[in-house]
Amino acid sequence: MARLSGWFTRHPLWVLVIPLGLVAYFVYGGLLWNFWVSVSDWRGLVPSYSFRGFDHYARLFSDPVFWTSLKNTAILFFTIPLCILLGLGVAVLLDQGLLGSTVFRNLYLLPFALSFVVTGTIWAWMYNPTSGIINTLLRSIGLGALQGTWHTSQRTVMGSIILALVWQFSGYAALVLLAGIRSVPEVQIKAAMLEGASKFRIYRKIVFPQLRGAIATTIVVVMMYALRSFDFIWVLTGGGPGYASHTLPIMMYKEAFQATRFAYGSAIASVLLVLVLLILVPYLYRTYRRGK
Amino acid sequence: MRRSALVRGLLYLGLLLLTVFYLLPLWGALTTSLKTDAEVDTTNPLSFPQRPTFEPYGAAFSYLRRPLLNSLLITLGGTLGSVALGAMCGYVLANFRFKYDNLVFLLITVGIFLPFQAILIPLFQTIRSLGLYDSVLGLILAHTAYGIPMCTLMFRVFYGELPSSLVKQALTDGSGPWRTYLKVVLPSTKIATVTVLIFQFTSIWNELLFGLVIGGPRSMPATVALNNLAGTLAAQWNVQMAGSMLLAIPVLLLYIFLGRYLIRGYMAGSVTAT
Amino acid sequence: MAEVKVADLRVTYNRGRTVAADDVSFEVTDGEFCILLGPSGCGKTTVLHSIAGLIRPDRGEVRIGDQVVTSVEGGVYVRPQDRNVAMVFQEYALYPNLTVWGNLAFPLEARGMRKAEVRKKVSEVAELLGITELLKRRPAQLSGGQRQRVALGRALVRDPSVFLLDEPLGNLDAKLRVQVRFELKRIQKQLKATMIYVTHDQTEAMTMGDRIVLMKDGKLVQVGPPRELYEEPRNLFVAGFVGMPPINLLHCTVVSSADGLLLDAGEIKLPAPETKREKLSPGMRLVVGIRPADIAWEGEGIPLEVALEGVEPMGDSVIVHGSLGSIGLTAKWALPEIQESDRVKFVLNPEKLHLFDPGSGARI
Repeated sequence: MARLSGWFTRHPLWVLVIPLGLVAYFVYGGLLWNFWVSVSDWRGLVPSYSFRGFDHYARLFSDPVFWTSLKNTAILFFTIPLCILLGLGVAVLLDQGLLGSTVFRNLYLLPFALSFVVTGTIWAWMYNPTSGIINTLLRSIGLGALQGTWHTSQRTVMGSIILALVWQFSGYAALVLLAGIRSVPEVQIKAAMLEGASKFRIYRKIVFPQLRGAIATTIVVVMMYALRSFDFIWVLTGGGPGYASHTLPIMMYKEAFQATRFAYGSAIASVLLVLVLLILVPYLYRTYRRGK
Repeated sequence: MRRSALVRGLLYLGLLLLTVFYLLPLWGALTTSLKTDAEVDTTNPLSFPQRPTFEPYGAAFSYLRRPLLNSLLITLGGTLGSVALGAMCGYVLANFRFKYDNLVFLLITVGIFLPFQAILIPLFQTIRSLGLYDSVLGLILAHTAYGIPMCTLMFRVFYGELPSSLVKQALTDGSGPWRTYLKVVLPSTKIATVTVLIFQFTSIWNELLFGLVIGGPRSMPATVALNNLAGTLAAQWNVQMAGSMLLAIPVLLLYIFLGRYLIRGYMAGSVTAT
Repeated sequence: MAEVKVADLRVTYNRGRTVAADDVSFEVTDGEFCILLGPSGCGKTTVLHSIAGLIRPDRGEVRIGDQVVTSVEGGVYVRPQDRNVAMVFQEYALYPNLTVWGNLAFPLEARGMRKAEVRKKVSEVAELLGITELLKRRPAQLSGGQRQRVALGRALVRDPSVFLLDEPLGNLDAKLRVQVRFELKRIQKQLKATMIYVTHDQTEAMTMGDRIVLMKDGKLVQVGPPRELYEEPRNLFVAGFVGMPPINLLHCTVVSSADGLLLDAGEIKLPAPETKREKLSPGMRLVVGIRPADIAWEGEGIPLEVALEGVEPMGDSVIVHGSLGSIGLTAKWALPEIQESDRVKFVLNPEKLHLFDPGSGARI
C-alpha cells in the first residue's frame, strides 16, 4: 500500500488512465477521426477511405441548404439576448425580498430540468394550428386575429423555436443572474441606499455593472445549447417545413444518418466544431489563465 | 424596507404572470393527458377534464414500457460510470500537483462544450465495431465517456471547496491517497456526490441524440420512443402528452424532492466563467 | 452638525426571540466624538444601524438635531436616505466598478447635484484626505489604507449632520491603525463633526473618544468620558474591559484588626481605603481591582515582595508579572527596563483600589 501510495503521488496522471483514456479516445480521437472522414469518400459500412481532399467542404459552401442551416444557427443566437433580458427582469423581481421568492424561482426553472423531447412534444401541442393551446387560448379571449401557423410555416418557424427556447432557458438565466446579484455585498447596497440612491439607480450603477461574470456564463451556456440545439428542433419540426428550420446539427444528422453521406456529414460537423471553438477558445483561455 | 401595498401587489402580479408563462405549457400537457380522445377534440386544452381518465397513460405506457426500462438501465449505468470516473479526476486534479495539471483539466473540460455532431460518426463506428450497436451497454459506454468532463469539472469545484489542509493533513499523517479519498474526502462531500449524481441522472435521462444514433429497436431509450410515438400517432395528443408526462415524472420527482441539489448542479456547471 | 438623542431603544431579532438591544438611552452633543464600545455581539452595531435607519426598532425614539427620525410610539420612521447621516462601514463598501472619483461622486449624483458642484466637492474632499492622485483608480488597485480613506471621503463629501462609523479601522494593520486614528480625530476636530463610532477595541475608544458608551449584552453599562470609565468603573465588567494591560482582580474578605479594617486576600492583606471605610464591615466578601499602572516600584504605599514571573519590555515602559503565592499581579511601569532578579518590589496605593461586590459586580 505504501509503495502504491508513493507511486500515486509521484504519477497522479497514471491513476487517471481509464477516464483520461476514454476522454482522449472518444473526444479527441473522435474529432480527428471525424476530420479524417470529412476528407475521404467514406460512405459507411465498408471501410474504404480514399483521400478526397477538401471536396466536401467545397461542395458544402455551394450547397444552399448549408447556408440556410448556417443562417438559422445564427438566428438561434437571438435566444441569448432575449434570455438575458427576461432573466435579468425576473432576477430583479425575485431580488425584492418578497415572501415565496425561492418557490417562484424554482417554478421558473422547472422547464430547464425537462428533456428537450418532452418540451418539444409539448410545444408541438402548444403551436398546433387547429386545436393547439395557443390558438385556442387566443380564440377564447377574443384575440382570434392573432392566431398563427407557428412552427408549421416557413415564415414563423424560427421565431416559434426561439420563443420556446427562451421559455426553457430564461429560468436558468434568471438563476445565474440572481446568484450574481446576490453576490454583490449587501453592505454596498446599504451604503448606496444611505447615500440617497434610488433602487433603480442602485441596480443600474452598482449591481448590473458587477454582473459581468454572470452574464458571460449565461451567454456561453445558452450559446452552447443553441449551437447544439439538435434535440428540441428535431422533435418539434424535424428541420422543416422544407429546410426552414435546418440548423447545422440537424443538417449533419440528416446527411450522415438518413442519407448515409457520412463524409459530407462529417464535413458539416467540422464546420460546426470550428464555430464552437471560435466562441469557446477565448473563454477557456481566460479560465485557464486564471487557473494558473 | 417596507413598501406600499400597491407596489407589493404589482410585484406579486408580475411573479404570477411569470408563473403562468412558465407553467402554462406544462399545465396544458397535464390536462390534455387526462382527457379522452373525444374530449381533446371538443374542449379547451387548458380546461381540466370533466372526468379525468388514465387511458392515455395506459396507451402511452404500453408503447413506452420497454424504452422506459432501457432508459432506466442506461441512465443508471451511465450515471454511475461517469460519476465514478469523474470523481477520480476531480479528486486528483483538486489535490495533486503535476506537470501540465491545468492543461489536463482544460482538455477535459473542453469535452463539456463539444458539439456531439463532431464525434457522432466515429462514435457510431466505434460502437459498431465493438459489437455494441443497439445495446444498452453501448449507450452506457457512450454516456460514461461523454459524461466524464462535466463530472470532472463539478467534482473539482466541490473538492476544491474543501479546506486544502484537510487532505494534506491526512496525507502527511500517513494515510494513502486512496484511503484519504474514501475516509476523508468522500464522507465530507456527500452533498457534492448527490448533486453530481442527480445532475448526471437528469442529463442522461433527458438525452436523445445518442439513443437515435447508436440505439435501435431493442435498446431504444424513452426519449427516442416518445419522439417516434409522436410520428406514428400524430393526432392523438392526449397519448403524446401522457407519454411526455411519463418521461418527465422521474425528473419532476427529483426536482420536487431534491431540487436543491439539482440547482446546485446547474450553478456548479457554470462556475468556469465566474 | 447636530446632536443625537437615543431614548429607550429596544431591538429584537427572530420575531422577538433574540434581544439585540434593550433600554438604550444616551445623548451625543453637537461636535462630539462618541464611541459605542463593547465586545462583539453586544448590540453596538444594532444601535448604530437604528440611528441610521437601517433597522427599525421595536421600541424607542431616535432624534437627530431637532427632528425625530424614529419613534415607534409616535409612528415616525424617516427613511435612511432622508436622515442626512453618512456611514462608514468596516468593509468600506466601495463600489468596485466605479473609480475613486465615481465613488466619491456617487452620493452627490444620487441626490441630483449639478455637475460643476460635484466636481468641486469631490476635489475638495480628495485634497482634505490627500487622495487626489488616486481619483482615476479603481478600489481593487488601492491599498487597505487608501480604501479606508476613500470610504471616509464618501461620507465627508455629503456634509451630513452625523457621521456613523462602524469599526472603520478594523481591516487595517496595527501601524496604519494608529496613523488613521490620529488623522480621523484631526478631521473630526477640524470639521467640528458629530461622530458616532463603533468599536470593540478599547485602545481606540480611549484615545479617540470624547465620550464612551460602553455596552454589554444589549444594555448600556456605563456612559462617560474615557478617564471616568478608567478611574471609576461602575462595575467589574467595565473595570476588566477598559485598560491595558487588564486590571488585577483579587478576591478578598474584610477582616478587622488593630489597625482598622483589612482586605484579606490570603497572601496579601491590604488596608481598606479611607474613603470606603463606612461601606465595609467585617466578614464581607469583595473583589479588589488594582490597575497595573497604579502599582509603583518605589515611593509611599504598601510594599510587597513578589516573585518575578516575567517582564515584557514595551520600549518606553515595561509590563512586570509577579506572584505572591497563588496570587498573580501585573504592573506597568514607565521604565525602559528593569534589573532581572528573582524578586521585585511592588508598591500599592490603598487609595487607588477599586472595590466591587462579587455577586452583582457593582462598584462599592
